[in-house]
Amino acid sequence: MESRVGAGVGVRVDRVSQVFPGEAGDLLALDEVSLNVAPGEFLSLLGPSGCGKSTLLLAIAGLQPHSRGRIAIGGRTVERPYTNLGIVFQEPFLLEWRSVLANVMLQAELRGLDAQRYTARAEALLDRVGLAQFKGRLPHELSGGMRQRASICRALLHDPPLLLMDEPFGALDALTRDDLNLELQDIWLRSPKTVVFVTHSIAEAVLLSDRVAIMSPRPGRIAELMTIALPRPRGLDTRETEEFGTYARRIREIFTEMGVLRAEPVR
Amino acid sequence: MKSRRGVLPFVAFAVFLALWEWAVAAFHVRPFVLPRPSQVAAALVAEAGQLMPAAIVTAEEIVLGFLLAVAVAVPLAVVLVSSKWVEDALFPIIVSAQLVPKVALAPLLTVWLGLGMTTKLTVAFLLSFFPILIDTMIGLKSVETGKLLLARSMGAGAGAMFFKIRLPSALPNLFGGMKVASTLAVVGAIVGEFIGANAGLGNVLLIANSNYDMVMVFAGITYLTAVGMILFAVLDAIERWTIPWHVSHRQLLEPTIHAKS
Repeated sequence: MESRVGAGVGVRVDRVSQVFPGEAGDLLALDEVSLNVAPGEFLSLLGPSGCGKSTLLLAIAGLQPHSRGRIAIGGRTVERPYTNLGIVFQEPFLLEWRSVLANVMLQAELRGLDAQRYTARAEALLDRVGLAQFKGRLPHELSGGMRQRASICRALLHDPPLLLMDEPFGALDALTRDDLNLELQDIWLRSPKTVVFVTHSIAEAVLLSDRVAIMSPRPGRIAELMTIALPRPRGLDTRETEEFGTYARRIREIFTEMGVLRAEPVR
Repeated sequence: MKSRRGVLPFVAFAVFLALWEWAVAAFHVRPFVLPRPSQVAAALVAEAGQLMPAAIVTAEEIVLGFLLAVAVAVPLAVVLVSSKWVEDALFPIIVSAQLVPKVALAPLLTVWLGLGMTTKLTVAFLLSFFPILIDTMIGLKSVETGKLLLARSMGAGAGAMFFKIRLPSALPNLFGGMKVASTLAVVGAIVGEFIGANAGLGNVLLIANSNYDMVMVFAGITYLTAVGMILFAVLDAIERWTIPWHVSHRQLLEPTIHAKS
C-alpha cells in the first residue's frame, strides 16, 4: 500500500446532487453525495441498478453537469469534461472501422501525442493483455472479452493518473470476468493510479478495492464506506478466505437492511 | 458455396429467357405485342449505333443529377444535425416539400428550363435528393453516445469529433441512401426525357413505342437497365473500398433463410 501513496490524483466529491427533470416530476438521482478518493486509491461504487453510480462517474468526468455541489480532481473544480483521465464503459465502444491498434491509438491521436512513441506503448499494452497478434484485426472479429481488453488499453495509453470504470466487466461471461479482474489488479499494481470502479457485484468490489462505497437505492446516497484490508496481490482464491467472506457478508447485510436483498430464502 | 451463389442467378435468368423464347413461338405471339429475346438480343447489337449515343446522353443526365443530389444533400444533412434549433426550423419544411410528387413537376421544369439536359438532371436530382439527405442524417445521429463521451474525455475538438467519429459512423447509411438514390436518378432522367426530349433513351423508347417497334423498346429498356446497373455497381465498389469494415460485417449478418444448405 505504502509504495502507491502519491501516485494518481485525488478526487473530492462534495455534497453533489443530481436532479433529472421529467414529465412525471423531477427525479432525484443523487442526494448530497460526498466522497473523498485518495491519490492511488482503488475505490468501488457498489449499488443496485439505478442508484446513480454511473451518474456519479459521469459527473466526476465532467461529462454530465450535476445539479448541486462541487467535484474537484487534484484540487481543481471540474466544470467541463476533464481530460487527464481514462474511461472504460460497460460497452467497449471501439470504432468499427479501425483496427485494434488504431482504436487504442485514438487516445494519442485526439490528444495530439507523438504517434511513434505511443504506437510502441500501445503495442506493449496490447501484448500485456494478450492481444498482440490481434492488433491488426477489426473489432467485430474479436470476442467480447478481447474487445473490452482493447478498450482498457485505450484508456491506459496516455498513462492517466485517474481511471474511471463503469461496470467494465458487466457484459462478460463469469470466467472472462474473473480473468479480467486479476488483469486489472495487475495493471493497477504495476502502474499506480486512482481508480473509481462502478460495479453491482459484491465479490468484484471486495476483490479489487481498497475501499467500497456502498450506495443506497434511488435517490443515491453513500450508505457506508468500507475499507477492505485484504493483502495484495489478491487471487481468485482470496474469495474463499474467511476475511473475504466477512466483508462480503457485511455488505450483503447492509443491502438487506436497505431492502435491496431479501433476508429469507424465497419459498 | 460461394461460386454456386454467383452462378445460380444467371442459370435462372437463362431458363427464364428460354421459356420466354419458347412461349412466344408456341403461342404465336405477334412481335408488336411481345418480341422474342433472341430478336431483342440481335437488336442490342444491330441498333447499337443509335442506342449507344442515346444511352450516353441519359447516363450523363443520371450521373450529373445524382452527383448534384449528393453534393447538396450531404452538407445539408451535416448542417441539419449540427443544431437542434436548425433542424426544428428547417426539417419540417424539407419533409413537406418532399410530399410534392416530383414527377408532376417535370412538365413545369420543361417550361422553365427548356428541352435540354438541365431539365432531366434536375428531375433526377429532385428524386434522388431526399433518400441521401435522410439516410445521411440518420447515420450522423446514430453514433453511440458512449463513443462521443469517450472522444470528449480525450479532448477531441469539433473537427476531430466530426471527421474521426461522426462521419465514418454515418458512411454505411450514406452509401445505403446513395444506392437507393441511384435507382431513383434513373427514373428521374427517363421521366424528364418522356416529357420532352430530342435525345436520350427516353426519346428512343417513345419513338419506338409509337411505331409499335417492341424489339426496339425492349432493346432500349435493356440499355437503360445496364446504365442503372453500372451506376449501382460503381457505388457498390466504392462502398467496398471505403468501408470494408462494414461490408464484411454485413455479410456476416446477412439473413440466410436456408441456413443449413
